[in-house]
Amino acid sequence: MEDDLLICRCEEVTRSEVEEAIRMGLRTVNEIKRFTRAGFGLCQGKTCGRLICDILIREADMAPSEVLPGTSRPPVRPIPTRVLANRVSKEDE
Amino acid sequence: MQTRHETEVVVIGGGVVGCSIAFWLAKRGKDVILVDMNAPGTGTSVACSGLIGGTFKFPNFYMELSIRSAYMYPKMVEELGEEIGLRQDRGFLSLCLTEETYKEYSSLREEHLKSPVYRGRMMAPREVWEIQPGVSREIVGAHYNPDDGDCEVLRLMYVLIRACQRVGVRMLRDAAVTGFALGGDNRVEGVVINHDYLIRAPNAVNAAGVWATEVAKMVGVTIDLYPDRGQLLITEPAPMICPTPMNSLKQVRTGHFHIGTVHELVGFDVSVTPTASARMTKNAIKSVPIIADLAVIRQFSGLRGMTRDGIPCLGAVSRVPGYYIAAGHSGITLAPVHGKVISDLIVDGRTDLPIDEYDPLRFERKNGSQS
Ligand SMILES: Cc1cc2nc3c(=O)[nH]c(=O)nc-3n(C[C@H](O)[C@H](O)[C@H](O)COP(=O)(O)OP(=O)(O)OC[C@H]3O[C@@H](n4cnc5c(N)ncnc54)[C@H](O)[C@@H]3O)c2cc1C
Ligand code: FES
Repeated sequence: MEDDLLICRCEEVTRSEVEEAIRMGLRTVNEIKRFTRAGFGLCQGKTCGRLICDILIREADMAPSEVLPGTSRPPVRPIPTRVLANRVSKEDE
Repeated sequence: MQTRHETEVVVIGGGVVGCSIAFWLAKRGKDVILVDMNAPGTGTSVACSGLIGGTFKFPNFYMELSIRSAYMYPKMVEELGEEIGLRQDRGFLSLCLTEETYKEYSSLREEHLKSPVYRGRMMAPREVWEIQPGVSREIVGAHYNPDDGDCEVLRLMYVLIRACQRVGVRMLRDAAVTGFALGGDNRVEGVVINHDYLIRAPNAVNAAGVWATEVAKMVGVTIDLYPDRGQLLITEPAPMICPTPMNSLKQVRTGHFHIGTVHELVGFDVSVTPTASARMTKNAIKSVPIIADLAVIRQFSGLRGMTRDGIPCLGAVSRVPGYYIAAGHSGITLAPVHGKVISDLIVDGRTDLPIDEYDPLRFERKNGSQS
């Protein structure tokens, strides 16, 4: 596979950047996300998460069962702050 | 128990604090092993705001040490050899949305003015809008501190990890400290990893963040650091309208807003809540109205390690020779100080920085008289 292949389209992270993270000793999708920003984009890793797991399995010689997917953070889709701000629960008022 | 490694110093915890300490120790010629129960860069240091400064930190000696640390940052970045997104040329704003807050900040300022180090001042709305165009027209004013700033914490974290690797720090992941080997006079002789093996070393540094209380208990020391959960929201990027960092709200280089934060006493639970996101977005919109048009793309939380007196723990534990603690809130701000103090103490046996008030054993003394 080519080195400049885009792994994360949202944040424009290439395969070679992900490999560099693995060479540094990073072994989870979350760590690779924090180091390369792959997974921090608008889709929040829905597209690139799987690819990064695959690279970890191949490059870091990990068993598929050892590779944990990245933490999915809320919200599932971007939500306007307006909407969040109006979800005020009773205890706040 | 089997000895698997030998070294001069074991640093426990691979957050910004532990990595800064390991870096300076290795730089000054020490052989260092850094252990983390998960991996370096997985604790509170990757779930925080990255403000560097002393505004409204009391007592004044704590503000003074914080500002001193802020001044040490450019030199540290130079030594680390890579950019960390340091912003120290724009100062730091604490907005006042109400008259009440304005009065409160003014009186906090009065207290800070007793220190010769402090250079903050109150700002009128017009001046605030000049340096921060995105701020609401409704504000009453702001407190401004020219000495405070911020950095990009994820960069800081990985630049530190890389620098540690470059100067020869050995880093072990999935290596939880579960006990200590102490000699006859209570002196540190080694660190037990995963109940399984020993790393032999005459020095151990407890830089375990909010978990430092446990690691202190393993040598019979009580420090009472407790978890105080904060939550953060990240919005989609917007054009740069807030280039100056603010308390609980900043726009980063890439245009995203980072919106903080709450204080929640819920133990070690790191879940996130809609109640917090509602409160935080409401406040953020009041400060910077355009935020109402942006979408939130991520919400996460982090655990501050707080002490009852609000001041971090930093120094040697006299009762256990070879045991050092560097833990507590504001670890991003204080990373250079933590690194210098602990490397001074281990390499030179003393430090010039004023750290008496940060003595990790102060809680045990207070337990007798107070609380
Ligand atoms: C929402 C929020 C906002 C914040 N904003 C700021 C700010 O603007 N400015 C600022 O200066 N500070 C801020 N802080 C505080 C700052 O994040 C922390 O003080 C700092 O990150 C602490 O760094 P650390 O290296 O001590 O801890 P951590 O980064 O938590 O690292 C500790 C490490 O120790 C490891 N560990 C724990 N126990 C063991 C064990 N037994 N064996 C092996 N390893 C172990 C953990 O796995 C962890 O990786 C904020 C905190 C929060 C939660
Ligand atoms: S493709 Fe990586 S975050 Fe969207």
